[in-house]
Amino acid sequence: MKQALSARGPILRAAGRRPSVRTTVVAVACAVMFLALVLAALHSAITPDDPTKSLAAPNSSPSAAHPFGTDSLGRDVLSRIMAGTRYTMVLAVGSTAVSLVVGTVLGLLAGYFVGWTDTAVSRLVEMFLTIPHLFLAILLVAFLGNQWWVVVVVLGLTMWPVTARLARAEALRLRGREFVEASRIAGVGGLRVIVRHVAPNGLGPVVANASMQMAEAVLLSAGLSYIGLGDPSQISWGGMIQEAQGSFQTAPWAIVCPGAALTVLLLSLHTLGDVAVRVLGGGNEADIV
Amino acid sequence: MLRYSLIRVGQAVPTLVFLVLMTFLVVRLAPGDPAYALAGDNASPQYIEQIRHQYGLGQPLLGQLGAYFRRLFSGDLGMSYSFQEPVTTVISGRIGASLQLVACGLLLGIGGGTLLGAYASRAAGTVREAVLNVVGLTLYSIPIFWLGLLLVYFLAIQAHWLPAGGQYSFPRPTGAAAVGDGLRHLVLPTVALALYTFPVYYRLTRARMSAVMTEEYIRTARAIGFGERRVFFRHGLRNALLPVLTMAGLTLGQSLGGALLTEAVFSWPGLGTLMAGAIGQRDLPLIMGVFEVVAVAVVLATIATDVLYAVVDPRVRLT
Repeated sequence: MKQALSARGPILRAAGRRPSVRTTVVAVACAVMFLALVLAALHSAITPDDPTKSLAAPNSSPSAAHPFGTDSLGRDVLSRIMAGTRYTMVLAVGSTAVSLVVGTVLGLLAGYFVGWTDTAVSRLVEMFLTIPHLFLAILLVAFLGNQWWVVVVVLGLTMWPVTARLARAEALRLRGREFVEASRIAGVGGLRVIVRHVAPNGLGPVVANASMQMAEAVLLSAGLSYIGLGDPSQISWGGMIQEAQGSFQTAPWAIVCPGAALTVLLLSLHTLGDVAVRVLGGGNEADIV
Repeated sequence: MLRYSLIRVGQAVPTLVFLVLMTFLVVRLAPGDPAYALAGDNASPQYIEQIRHQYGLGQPLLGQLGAYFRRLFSGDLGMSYSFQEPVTTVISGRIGASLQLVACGLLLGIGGGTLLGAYASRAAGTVREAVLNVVGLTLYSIPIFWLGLLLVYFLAIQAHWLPAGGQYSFPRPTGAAAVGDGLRHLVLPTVALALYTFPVYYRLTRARMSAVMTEEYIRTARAIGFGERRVFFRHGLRNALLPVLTMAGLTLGQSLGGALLTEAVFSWPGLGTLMAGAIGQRDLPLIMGVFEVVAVAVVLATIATDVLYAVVDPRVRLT
């Protein structure tokens, strides 16, 4: 992919040549992300029906009025999927932000200062990587509450170790470089060196991984909602699937459609994540090992 | 070898202490009086008082922590109020079913992913590889509970090929029929869990194999005149499998998360279904207990993987 992007120049300049399959796939993934962000921002302003109101017979099959059918309470599935985008995206973006902030700070400190800071952070990272994420998230949400902002913090706290590993590796790589040593010899304080010199040059892999982290957040939050730990005041795709499970035989669309929305979003995030890792550096699971 | 194993076990102690500390903090941070939360709805005042005493909630923080450690080390995980039984009893009755599902699902998923990953690295640039990549990425992106539900809908509800859920039919058949019945119930959850673990190992093995096959020792082996098959399996795949082993240890926790959701979909009577039920009942001691058991199991399994790694790859023991 890196080759495709650099050798042929920007995608738009490849005029006159048919875009490759990969370029098309990446473009579609970008479009899906754009659509998801628009839906999350505009929310109920553009849904065809009120997602919370019973409008038709329960479990009615897809029709012109309700293209994805209705659920067991007669609510329009399409509108609920559109409205559910907000919960998914807020959780994905929010928890990734938490993970990036916590992981970057701890990772850069560990990689730059080495010594006991590094030992402490690395041990903590290992512990958090070992503990099963979904189980940890369930425990925390069950005890601390299932409001959306609690879920955001909890997911961020289960995902930060990967960010910390990437940031630490970059800081370790950069701390021996001449320009970093020069400023250290010039008497610049450690924290200032990190903020001014290490962070700007070392955040590529962290940023590249953000898309993958968002994907993990989407999966974890959907899993939480599915087993009944989503925010009950919000419409979520995982929650929709859980609610529709009782009438699976009569109204499969109420399960198939939200699940398909999840899959399309995750496919896009993974595709963009692969591209970002190739362009900005950093690692996927193969490099973590 | 023994020394390495002992060091590795020693390293796990801080992790276990940290786990206990974390669960302790979670109970303390829960909004409201933790005694009320742990006792559950409709608890009698006496029971709440008993909980307060058991968890040492009346004492200062350090005393509470001490009481908490003592309680855990004596193997007391508290009472589940939805079952009205000790948490340990409830969990030990369910752990076998979970182990069965996890063992079958992971074996199939890791085995299939590794073999197809190796095959894809061999078929690089062909249509077959492209198809496998698309399948891998798609499976990587499908939420496991949705995949499970689709399997139930198409193979159980529509086609009537396999049972939709549970571990046995009701009434349970006897004799040889019981074995067949158990296996038939095992198929769909195993396939769901395998499809969930498959893409991770597919992607990993494919990437590692492509890298390993450009190594100098591969070129040497070819130059010596070994057959391509022998070079691929003996010299290539064996080396590429080392990170797969590490990955299996690292992602065990993640796989168990997948197993939890799989169990919930297929009403498989293991720890995952137990956890899902406990969430519905707000049975906090049970949620805590399952978490503690699973987390400790994962820590122990990680040690086992590391020791196994040292057996397979002697270089590890030296570092």
